[in-house]
Amino acid sequence: MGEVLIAGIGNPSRADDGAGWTVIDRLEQCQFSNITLSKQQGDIAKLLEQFSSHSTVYLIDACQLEAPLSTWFRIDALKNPIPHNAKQTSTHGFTLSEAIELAKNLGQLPNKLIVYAIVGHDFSMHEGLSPSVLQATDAVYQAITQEIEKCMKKA
Amino acid sequence: MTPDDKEKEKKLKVKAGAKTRTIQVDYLARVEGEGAMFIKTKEGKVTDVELRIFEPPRFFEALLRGRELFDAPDITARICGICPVAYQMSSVNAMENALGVTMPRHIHELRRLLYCGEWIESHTLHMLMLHAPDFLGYMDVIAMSKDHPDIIKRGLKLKKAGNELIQLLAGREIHPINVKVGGFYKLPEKNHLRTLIDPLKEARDDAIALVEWFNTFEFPDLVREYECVCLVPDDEYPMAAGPIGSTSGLNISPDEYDDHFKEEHVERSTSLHSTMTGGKTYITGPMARWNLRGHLLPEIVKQAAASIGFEKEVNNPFRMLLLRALEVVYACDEALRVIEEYDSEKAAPSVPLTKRAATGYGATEAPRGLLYHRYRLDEKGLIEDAKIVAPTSQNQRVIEEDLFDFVSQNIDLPDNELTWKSEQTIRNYDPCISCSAHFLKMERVDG
Repeated sequence: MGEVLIAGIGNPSRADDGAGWTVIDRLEQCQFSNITLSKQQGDIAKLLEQFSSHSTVYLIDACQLEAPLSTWFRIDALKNPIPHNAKQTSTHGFTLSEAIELAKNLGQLPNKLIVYAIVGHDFSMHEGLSPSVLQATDAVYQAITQEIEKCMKKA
Repeated sequence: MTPDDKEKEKKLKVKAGAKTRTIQVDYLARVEGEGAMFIKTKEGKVTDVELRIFEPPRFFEALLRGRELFDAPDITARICGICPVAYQMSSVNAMENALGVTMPRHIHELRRLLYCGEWIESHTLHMLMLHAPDFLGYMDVIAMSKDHPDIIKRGLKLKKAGNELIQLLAGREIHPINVKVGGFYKLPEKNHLRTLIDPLKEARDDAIALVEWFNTFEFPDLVREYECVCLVPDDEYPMAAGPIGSTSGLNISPDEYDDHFKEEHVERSTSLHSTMTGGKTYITGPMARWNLRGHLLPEIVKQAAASIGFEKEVNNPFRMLLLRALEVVYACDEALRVIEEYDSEKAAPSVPLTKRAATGYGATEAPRGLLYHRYRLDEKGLIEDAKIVAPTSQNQRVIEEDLFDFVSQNIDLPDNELTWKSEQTIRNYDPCISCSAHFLKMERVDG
């Protein structure tokens, strides 16, 4: 079993939905050892497989929510439920909260599951993040690197 | 969203009166697209059923105009995240038809292999995660997974085998990038492909186990006569190429499609309805493929079907759950055949092409059924006109007719049960109306 996975979920061709991938791009420069970085489009089978093959998982995803610009959340998904999206983009896909719920029923949750949710404003078909979302990705990047460095010191 | 939330959101509303009864479901999960169902009865008999689709138009055909012919596979792949390979296959078939080139055997085989990956992942997603809960009375797969975790794990492993096949052959599992007009950008290495042999063998076993499990389900009783339409190649189960045939003996090349099928706009749907010329309703998808070309399936699929006493000709649409499972057995087996025979890594990945003014036609078998593309090109290879007919558009009419018969035969069911089973009837077709919100409203008017 791998130790730590940090996965960005989203689609960079849909504007702010690329927030998770942007954070992963920055984390790739850090060269953390024993940490797997991954970019995903949210396939539930892949997500569940990665849940079961890592003890600690950080997920970074864009979300739709009425909230001020640059808002982001850190959610301990094993202790608190993920707010459900009011709108699913596809019934052939599953929301992150459904993936977590399914993983729980299948006994495939990691020991630690942290979700960083960045509130997006523009999900139209083009590349590039809104300025406020770009700002939020910087804050999330800082938060994750601090969290990882803290964990490494403890270890 | 938890099952409880979904239940709340479903907001089953019943209005009962002396003459009018209305059932309304504000949110339908596990069927894609905006829709409403309207049922009218008179003296206890159904007189009208309408499946109303409010799919927002996406204008892909208009988007293609003025673009290079080589852009078509990658643009059309974006129509669907579940079956992008189908859009790529039909578009390259049509473009190659326009340019007058025929693919060598190794390209045909690799495209078939890629399609196998899509059938595996798409069918498995639908069968286990979306449709099976209907048969067992669960609100969704999350509720089902509490009682059947091992089945779900097996299904996820099966889906993964399909995803890995697409990723290896085409770069990534969603919206693959290695397909081009004229072939592929790069051919896979034999050793890389062979790493998939063991997972695919396991996947084939898992698919057979699913056939057996689904066979324990109780299938609603609905038997109808269908005009089946699918590709009808002589030497292989329908998938990536071939003429178009039907139950009543049609056998045409894709360039004759527009002479025999027509699309029309009906007021109740933003999605065009397809019929055969003359207005005849037809069905496309697993049932058509099985009924018209099931005899071409390999022995292992025939044995899996025989072991559960599966009928040679299917005319109960609920049995499509089993058909999809049998097609997954086939896709795994066919993928193994192609991989084991593959010896073309040194061959040319594509054939040379010369642009010309022409019209091209292509049809392939998406998991949900026949997918037709037509493009008119100018002498510079720019697209002047495009037409795309998706399987769900072709199946809309037959879904309505199934609903009419099913509701007629079950008119005495309580509203909530009738609503549930009507939704299940729609899901028999795995309708895929991409990128739209979900809204099924059922109205039953007695009067």
